[in-house]
Amino acid sequence: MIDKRDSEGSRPSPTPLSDLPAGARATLSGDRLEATDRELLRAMGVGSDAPVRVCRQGEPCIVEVRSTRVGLSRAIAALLDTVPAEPIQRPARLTQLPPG
Amino acid sequence: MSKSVGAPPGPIALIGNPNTGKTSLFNRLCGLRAHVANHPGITADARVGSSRMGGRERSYIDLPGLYSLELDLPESRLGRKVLEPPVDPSSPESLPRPSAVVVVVDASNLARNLTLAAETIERGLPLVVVLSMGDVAERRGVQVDADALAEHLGVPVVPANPRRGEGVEAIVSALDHATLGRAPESGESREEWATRTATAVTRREREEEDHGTDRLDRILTHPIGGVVVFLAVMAGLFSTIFWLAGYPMTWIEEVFALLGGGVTDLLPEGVLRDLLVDGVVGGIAGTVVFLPQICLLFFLLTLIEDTGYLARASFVANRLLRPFGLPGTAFVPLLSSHACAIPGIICTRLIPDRRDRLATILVAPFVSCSARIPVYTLLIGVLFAGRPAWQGGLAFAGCYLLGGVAALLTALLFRRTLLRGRSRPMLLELPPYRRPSLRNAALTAWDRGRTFLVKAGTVILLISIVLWWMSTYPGTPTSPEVLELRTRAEAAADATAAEQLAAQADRLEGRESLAGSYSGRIGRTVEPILSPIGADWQLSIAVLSSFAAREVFVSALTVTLGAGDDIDDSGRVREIVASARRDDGSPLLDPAAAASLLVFFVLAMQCLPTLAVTSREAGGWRWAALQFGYMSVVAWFLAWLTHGIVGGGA
Ligand SMILES: Nc1nc2c(ncn2[C@@H]2O[C@H](COP(=O)(O)OP(=O)(O)OP(=O)(O)O)[C@@H](O)[C@H]2O)c(=O)[nH]1
Ligand SMILES: [Mg+2]
Repeated sequence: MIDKRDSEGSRPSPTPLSDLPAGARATLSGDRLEATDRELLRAMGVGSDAPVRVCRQGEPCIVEVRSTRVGLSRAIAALLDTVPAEPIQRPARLTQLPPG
Repeated sequence: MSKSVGAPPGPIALIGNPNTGKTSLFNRLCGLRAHVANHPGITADARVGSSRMGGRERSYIDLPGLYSLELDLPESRLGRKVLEPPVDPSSPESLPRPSAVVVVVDASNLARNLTLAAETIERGLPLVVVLSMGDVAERRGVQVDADALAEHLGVPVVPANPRRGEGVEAIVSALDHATLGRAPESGESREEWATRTATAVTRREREEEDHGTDRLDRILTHPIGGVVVFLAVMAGLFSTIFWLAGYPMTWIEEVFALLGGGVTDLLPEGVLRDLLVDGVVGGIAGTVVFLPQICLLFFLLTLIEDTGYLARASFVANRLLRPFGLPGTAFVPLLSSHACAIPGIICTRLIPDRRDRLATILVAPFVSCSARIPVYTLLIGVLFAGRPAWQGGLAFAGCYLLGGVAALLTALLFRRTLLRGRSRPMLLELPPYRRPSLRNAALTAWDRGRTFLVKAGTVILLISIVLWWMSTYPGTPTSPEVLELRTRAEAAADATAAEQLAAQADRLEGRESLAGSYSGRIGRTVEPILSPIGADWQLSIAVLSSFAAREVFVSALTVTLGAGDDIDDSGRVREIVASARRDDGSPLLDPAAAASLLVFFVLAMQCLPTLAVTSREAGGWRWAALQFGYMSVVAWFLAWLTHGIVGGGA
């Protein structure tokens, strides 16, 4: 897991995909996946620099990348880093997990 | 450069991302029946067909959808095998190299699709690009300039709608001009190249978010709502299958009864007649009778798939199955196994992870298939005779439940021991919601049904013949009792009495010859193993015969009990079985024996064709042997427990 103490400032910092609220837009910036999963995702169009929109958060996490909709189990979403298009509205991660 | 002109007509490979319309196009070209469904990666095999369109005969290969040729996944390996020159061209496994490739590209998702096009171009085969889903793209405010794309790629680009069959002729004429495409230049990755090309040829009028799909997705994958919808859909699916398939199944039984009767009347009494009636007609009937359920299952399943629901359902199923070590993708195979484990096990090709796939194959036969229904009906009928009907219904449901629970617990056991390892997290494309195509579903049902008939039919037919032989030979001399009955029949004054006596003689003779046959001898030999679960030698023969195929149990039992194999009237069979005696005069099927046999039939691996399919799909006889051994032991043990509990309590 990466450092969770997000700076509260306006400068977007990498956030796990699983922490984005539904409706958020972000750009994928990196991952900590196994090679097989990374390659498959990349071939599906969900690679670095891809713009994502979160359609549903939780298990599964559903994202839209360009016009592809992909369902990801939470375990994968937690390993994908994103740079949110705008700072997240919610108080950045406390100890609570988002519902779902 | 133009390799295509005058080239020998090698096959034309259809390749593309999942769900781009390859199979729809293949069907339009060849008129051949192949699986089409709105579920990523449903085509598990390459299909081959031929077409005379465009004035010359060409053959086509329909490849399963794949995201990239470079991945370590079954569909990518198959793609490489087809497109790349064989390592050893003389090997019988090697495929003829395609003369050209049709890359089907989804216009609504161009950048990703062009990455695969780049990989294909690099394989150095002449190609044509088909631009499908133009209607979908347009609805999303995206327009792709086909001419500009052709300019960029250096190959013909044909816009088409494979679902409606538009543009197919243009594709065929474009094949005459298939050429090698322009690959990305060095220094630029395929993705960069694809994105750059897609941007250059696409005009985006508006950007819109699909909130309708978002809402539906949220409902259908909701932790509670999603499960409720899922269970409702499954319940609807099953009740429809059982209710609707009942009619054609009755007709099939009637037709084969007529056919058997016809052969009986036509041929003189003797070995050939018995072989044809009992072995061949009986064997074919026993297979064909499951056809309506299998066709109906796949018809409805394809409709559901085509709507786009199945991919969402896989995530719901994942929630339910994961705790037992099975992936969400195992649910289609397990569902199909309710009709028959054979198509179910073949469907496991869609499960990407090897351990997940093996676990699913191993437990699939625990799920109650339709071949068990006649056995359940008979035993529950005997067990609950004279009781209210709902109790029998409950017992029936209990059998299904027991099979399901056994499958889940076994999966858990194997994933904790033999197939230990991290399970791969789920990762699946969710196709757009669509109105399902009845034509697609009908073609799929036909295709699946035909495959089942060919695969299972030949094996079951063979087994039926062997079984018939084993229960007929070596033959025993007619006993004095039979001879006496015959004499009395001849002497009888009134015709009905004579007929009855003759029939009694026939039945007794049948029973004696079975007892003396190879099957009978084996039955007596294994009696000690089966007596703890309540079977005497007669039941042992029936149980043993049913190891070839379960549905044989009922007919084998009626033959053993000397009732003839008149299986048309299930009420009569139940009466005969309920009143049958053991050698010591006690009832053949007391409650303890009936209950323990019921449990045994729920759990035992009694189907040779399934074992053959397991060994092929799992990659070795060891897996089939494990499946057989494990299931038999579990079945015996739980049947023995049941026998003790029911027998002790009575
Ligand atoms: N709207 C629209 N739907 C299409 C078009 N072509 C195919 N479809 C539909 O898309 C779905 C998938 O089509 P298939 O032919 O099974 O796609 P495939 O490429 O063979 O899919 P896989 O074998 O899973 O890779 C079906 O519901 C088709 O009816 C098209 O041009 N427009
Ligand atoms: Mg297909």
